[in-house]
Amino acid sequence: MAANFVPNVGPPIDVPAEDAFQPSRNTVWKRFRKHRVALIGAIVLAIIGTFAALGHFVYPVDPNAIDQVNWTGYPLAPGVAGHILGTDENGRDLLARLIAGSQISLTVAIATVLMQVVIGSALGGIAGYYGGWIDFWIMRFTDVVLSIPLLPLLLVLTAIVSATSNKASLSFVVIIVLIGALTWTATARLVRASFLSLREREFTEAARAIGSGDMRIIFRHLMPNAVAPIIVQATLNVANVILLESALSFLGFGIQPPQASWGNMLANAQSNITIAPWVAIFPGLCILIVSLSINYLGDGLRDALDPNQR
Amino acid sequence: MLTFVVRRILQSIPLLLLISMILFGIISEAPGGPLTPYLQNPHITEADIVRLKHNLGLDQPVPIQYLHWLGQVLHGDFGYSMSNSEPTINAIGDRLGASLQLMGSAIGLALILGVIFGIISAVKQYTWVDFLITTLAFFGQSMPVFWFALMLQLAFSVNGFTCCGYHIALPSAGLSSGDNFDLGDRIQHLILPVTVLSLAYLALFSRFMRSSMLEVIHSDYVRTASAKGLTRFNVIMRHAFRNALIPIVTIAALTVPDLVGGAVITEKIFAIPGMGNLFINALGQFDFAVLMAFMCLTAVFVVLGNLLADVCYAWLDPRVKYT
Repeated sequence: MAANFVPNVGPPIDVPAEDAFQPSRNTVWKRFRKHRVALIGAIVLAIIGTFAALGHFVYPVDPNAIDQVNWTGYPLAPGVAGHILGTDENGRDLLARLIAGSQISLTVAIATVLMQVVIGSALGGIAGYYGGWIDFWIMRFTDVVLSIPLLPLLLVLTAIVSATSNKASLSFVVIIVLIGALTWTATARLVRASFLSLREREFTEAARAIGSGDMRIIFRHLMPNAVAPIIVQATLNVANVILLESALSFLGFGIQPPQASWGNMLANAQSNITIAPWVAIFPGLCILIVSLSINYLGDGLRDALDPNQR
Repeated sequence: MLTFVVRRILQSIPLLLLISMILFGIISEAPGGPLTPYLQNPHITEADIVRLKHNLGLDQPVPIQYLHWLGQVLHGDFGYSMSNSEPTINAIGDRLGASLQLMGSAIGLALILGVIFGIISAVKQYTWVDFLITTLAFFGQSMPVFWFALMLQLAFSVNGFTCCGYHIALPSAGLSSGDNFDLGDRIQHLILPVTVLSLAYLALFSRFMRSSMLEVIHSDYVRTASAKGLTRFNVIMRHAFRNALIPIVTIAALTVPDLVGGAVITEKIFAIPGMGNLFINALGQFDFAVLMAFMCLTAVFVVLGNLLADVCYAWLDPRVKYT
């Protein structure tokens, strides 16, 4: 640790932000590569990302169009009348809806996690850096948010928002903001904990001694050192948010039809499960594969970036 | 110890008051307010609504309403559930048992299996058994509950399945077939929902148990025990296992609120008349009294669960000091 103290010579220059500490990119990649399953997870995610981004060019079928010609009131089986994965109970092409759903589910998950990271790092960083009563009140606020069970609270909030707004459909932005506003607590605690120890270290003292301001110390010196666990947690949280959003949509309080999401595609599947199991199987399989890949990816990232945290 | 517990309880009172205030504020925002279930009833006229509003104090500002609500709750009165047409406390009393049975079986099963799996996984680190258990945990963590439930219904109850020459179709809804309680019947009804719920808890417990066990196995005192010539089994079960269990007890204590709150999704899919179902039905009609009671009750148990976790931790591990 002492080796990282950079003596201040000459004009107030930047204290290099602890490069010596951070494993070099090369080491990180080497460690990550060893985790085979994580590598597979990353590849699967890349494929699904491409599928979400480009799927509708390869398979240009309108996800909300009803197949008037062939639909008889029952879901069409996979392969019937050119529907590769069949149709749902309203005669809409399942593959096209899966592609549309993947765009929504992934966008919501990534945007929500970005929001968590921004709010969580800001509040956790301020609490950990300044300490004292600021820390006390921010952490009490965190306790309040953590003490209300998440899923019921989200259900209440989405129900009220959708009932009070005149629009029949709940915008996916609302879902992002609501989930993001309630799930930053873990990130905040994580950042606070690392800031509490980092602010006592020699390099922080050195930075302060050469006259760096609080903002500079926070963003140039502390954040870069706290970033590894944040990345790992954010990755794992993408999977959690996908599960949460799909659960909300499944219960009818998330993404509203006709807009497809992997969760709401399953909402009506239960009543048709005897005659059309494929309607239930495919969307859930997508959720499982994506969240499994993300969990393995996060596990690999943890091994690579943050080997002490296990 | 006692002062620690008392202080923690005193600290949680303002926290809970604040939570109930926030929840009251949020749920009051529901369009139509607490009378929403009546607004949908064609037999109730505009004049009735105005009169009800006045009688129930709903024409007063929200902070006054909150104080009124708080006063009632402190006297044990959670208000009248308009969607169930009975006092909220009775509605909760009717549903609590089902949730306790469901969640208790799921968490209990997951706890037993999770501890066993975690120990095996740690002792046989990097073997195929460890790989299998870790993979199971990853699946449990990534599984969308509602989909898993539907798949189990599809596999085991829609068409049934043949096992050992018997054709079995497990029930997919409710908790009993007839009006009379029958243990075998109840167990049959619980198999699928308990499987669904316990998978996620199993993932949680087995992963924690594995890492806690690994940490303990590599500690000095365990090496000393081995060096003394104790058998592997004795070292693991008598020396390592007990200390590795401490974090698990803490994690288990944190699942206490789930016992009371039930499981919204699983109860809905399997039509189990528990707390989760009560909540989701109340939400559909904005049944104010039930929503407030449910949310506050679960919040109370979250706080109690945290307290229990801290107390257990300090009690089991004398190295931890109360602060």
